[in-house]
Amino acid sequence: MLHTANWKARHSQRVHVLNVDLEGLAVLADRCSAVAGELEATAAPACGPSSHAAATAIQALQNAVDIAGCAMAARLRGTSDMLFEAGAAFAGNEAESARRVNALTPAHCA
Amino acid sequence: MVHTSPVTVPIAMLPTITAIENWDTANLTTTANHWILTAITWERAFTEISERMPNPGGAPWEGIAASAAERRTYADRLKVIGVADELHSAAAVARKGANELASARQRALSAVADAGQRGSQSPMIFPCPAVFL
Repeated sequence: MLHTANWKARHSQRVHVLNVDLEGLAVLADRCSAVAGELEATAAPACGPSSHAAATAIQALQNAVDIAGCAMAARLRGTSDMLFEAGAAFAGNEAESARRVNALTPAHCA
Repeated sequence: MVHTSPVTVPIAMLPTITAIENWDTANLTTTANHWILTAITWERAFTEISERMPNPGGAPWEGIAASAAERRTYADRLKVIGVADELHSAAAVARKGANELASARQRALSAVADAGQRGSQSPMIFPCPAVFL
């Protein structure tokens, strides 16, 4: 009992709660990609025949909006990639852990 | 009392009557509406992803990677909301400008009509929102 308590105390800072739903990560990764596509699809209204200074100012701001939208879409795609990679890494780690555990031979059985 | 000085604007830079008549402020309003929709789309997109991150697919995701992902998407959300706020402000300016231009246009055309009735030939000077000059 004391031994168990000591072990917990020694490892408490290294023990973390781990709870992963790999399918959920893939679902959210797909959603991130879809939302990124939605951001990229927001088309600006065509500028009318007006040639006033307002039209120039509007176009300049619209260009900035387009750039910002592209950057946001890229960021969401990055998040999507991160989720896919995390899912793959968790799955790989789980498989490797299972392989190692299965390879163990209990000493008292040898 | 505000005085508009006609000598500060060269006559050659003033729009013609035809230009005033054809001055379409709908572009400004359309653009303002587009910016508002864009800002809302940005906010919703990043808010959704940030809020779903702790439970992707419905089940909780816990651990160091989960915390990092939450921090990342929450920071993204805050940043995007800031940019979206700026876009909302720009849209408000555009809408205000459209209203002011439409009002100025109406005043100018009314003045032209009045002058026409009086047979005046004097040049028409009308105030225009400074931000659009």
